[in-house]
Amino acid sequence: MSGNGDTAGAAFADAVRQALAPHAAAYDGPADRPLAWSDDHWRAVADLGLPKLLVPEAQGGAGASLAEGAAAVEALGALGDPSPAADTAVLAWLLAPQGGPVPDDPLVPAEPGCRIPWPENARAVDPAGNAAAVPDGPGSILLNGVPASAALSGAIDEITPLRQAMAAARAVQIAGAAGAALEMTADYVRERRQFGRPLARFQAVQQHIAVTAAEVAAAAQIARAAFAGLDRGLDRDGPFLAAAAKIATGRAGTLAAKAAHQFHGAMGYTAEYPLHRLTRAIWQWREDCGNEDWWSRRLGAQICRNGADALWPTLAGG
Amino acid sequence: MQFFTDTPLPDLAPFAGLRAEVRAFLAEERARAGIESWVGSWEGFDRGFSTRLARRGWLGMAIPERYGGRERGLLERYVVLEELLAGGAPVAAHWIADRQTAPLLLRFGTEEQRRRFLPRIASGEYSFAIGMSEPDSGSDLAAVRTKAAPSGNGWRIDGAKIWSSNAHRADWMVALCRTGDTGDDRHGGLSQFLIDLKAPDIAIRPIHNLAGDHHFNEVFFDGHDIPADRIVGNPGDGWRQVMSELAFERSAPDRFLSTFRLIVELVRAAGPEPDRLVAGEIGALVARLAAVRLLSIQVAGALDRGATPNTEAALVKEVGTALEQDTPEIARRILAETPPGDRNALLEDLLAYDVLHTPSFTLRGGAREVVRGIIARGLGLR
Repeated sequence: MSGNGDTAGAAFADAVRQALAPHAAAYDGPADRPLAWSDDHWRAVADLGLPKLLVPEAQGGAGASLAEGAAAVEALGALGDPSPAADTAVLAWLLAPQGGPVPDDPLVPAEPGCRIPWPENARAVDPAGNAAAVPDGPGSILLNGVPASAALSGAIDEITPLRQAMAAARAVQIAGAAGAALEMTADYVRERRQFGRPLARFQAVQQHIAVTAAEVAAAAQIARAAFAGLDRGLDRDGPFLAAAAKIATGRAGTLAAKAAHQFHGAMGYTAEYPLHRLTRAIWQWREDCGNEDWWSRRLGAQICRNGADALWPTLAGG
Repeated sequence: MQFFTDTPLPDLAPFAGLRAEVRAFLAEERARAGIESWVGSWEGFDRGFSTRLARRGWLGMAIPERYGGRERGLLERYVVLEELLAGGAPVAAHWIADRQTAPLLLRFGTEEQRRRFLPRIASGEYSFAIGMSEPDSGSDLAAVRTKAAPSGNGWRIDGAKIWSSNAHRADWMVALCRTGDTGDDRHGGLSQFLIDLKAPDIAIRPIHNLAGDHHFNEVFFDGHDIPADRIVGNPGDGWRQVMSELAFERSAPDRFLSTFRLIVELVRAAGPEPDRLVAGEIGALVARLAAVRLLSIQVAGALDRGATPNTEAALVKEVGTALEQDTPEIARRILAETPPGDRNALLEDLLAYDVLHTPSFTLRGGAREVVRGIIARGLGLR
């Protein structure tokens, strides 16, 4: 809305929107219909160079910066794209420093608590950086067409670099989806007339959307910063930003989904209306790799461990 | 609907040395005052503090050198502001002048006004009060009735301003007055004036807030004459000028750091091994703070580039003040099992102060509902 020109990140985002919007729209069916893998969709993802967007050029990637990657991932989120395109980009970036070729397959996180997007040909990357076939896991709630068998269980107490990176990615995706859901809502209330005037004329409607937009705007800033700062690793700053980003976007995404559905009325709750591609994505992504409370407890514990007088230096970055 | 999508976050890392200097200065100031911590947030009015701050070069940082300022840019200034606020320093004596009067005069003032006022703002000599609200015109600023009429070689002011913090201590007020008809959009006919509050014919009546503090005042002008050169900008441009001031007022770190020291003391009270629920409350609160801070830094970057990010500034105020208002409530949840007798005195003082002052957080700088209306307009909803 207040961009300052033609940055590479904006160009990536535009390319993602143009190439993938038709593919993402193909998944608009209701939640009880598991998503079918689309070779066409993945080919479009690969043609954009998304899988190796963040891999150095020497290893066959596009060598984009993490800030540029954040713009692309946010655009994926704004489409509610359910494919593992963002996962693959992030995991390939994690694998690249090991040297050698980065797999060409879709990559998904083999982390308990990170639900795995559905492709059967995917390779699952574990915290140690091994890429293997997708393991079987026990069932879980089904929010976004993700097969119930593919959510891994297990203890999730450790904050690994993989978990940190995936949390930052999900945060950026949520920011994208939340912004898109609000955009859709603003368009809708400007057109939908009740009581003889557009819904947008009602102060109750305006104020609710304004509050939600503010929460989303703040959360989006920290999500982008967390993603762009992933190369600082698991130092004090790294998990701080990723944790805060997942918490802030979980909160803001929840508010955005709630507001979007409220103002779309019963129509937005139907299987045929495209809003739920975004809201179901938010509801899944906020759970992935630790939800707001999982991260809040760990972030709070870390803050308390570091002590009261370290809080401001942590926030201020020094 | 997103903001700053292709604007990199301004990098404040180059100012790490400056941060350390400000922190050391604040430690000296606390030692000088003989206190462990300031209570009362940025509402403390201490001309000595402001003067010493100015001597260090940390006042008037956004004022050009030719007007006695330090010409350091808004981002460097931002670092100093947030360090002062995070430390709870008593900044009220210079805050309004530095935050909004200086940018106002830089943008709309005459050369003579800049030469007269800006060096004295940068040195901490001149303290300013805000003259916007009136008894019958609070949130509805366009309804201002205080009149400025041409009189002899100047202007004659009649009316009253209210809620003017520290008007009883400040030297000057920038007053928004009616100089003509409102026009169709209700925003016409307003002008801003520099008024010397030490003039003997201006009556200043204290208004104590519910905590017993005297910050607010009602200021009466009964045929008060001022010279012609005290008008800021062109007659009738007051509304536009005031709106540009408010972008500074609404996005600064004083819109989300008011309760920061309570958060610090909560972390101290929680100890190194808090239970999971307490840790969760603290983590969620700090995450919100970290998020709004980055949005505020983005707005500072936009202001530094000369933009007028009114909608974005309103976003900061909305999320930031909601966070401030939630902080004492979260503190109460965290402290539910800790009897007051087991809390340290500073924590108790900060909690009581914040509880008593929460109503002001979503009023100052524009009532929350007005701010939400500004956001809604920015989103094309009205």
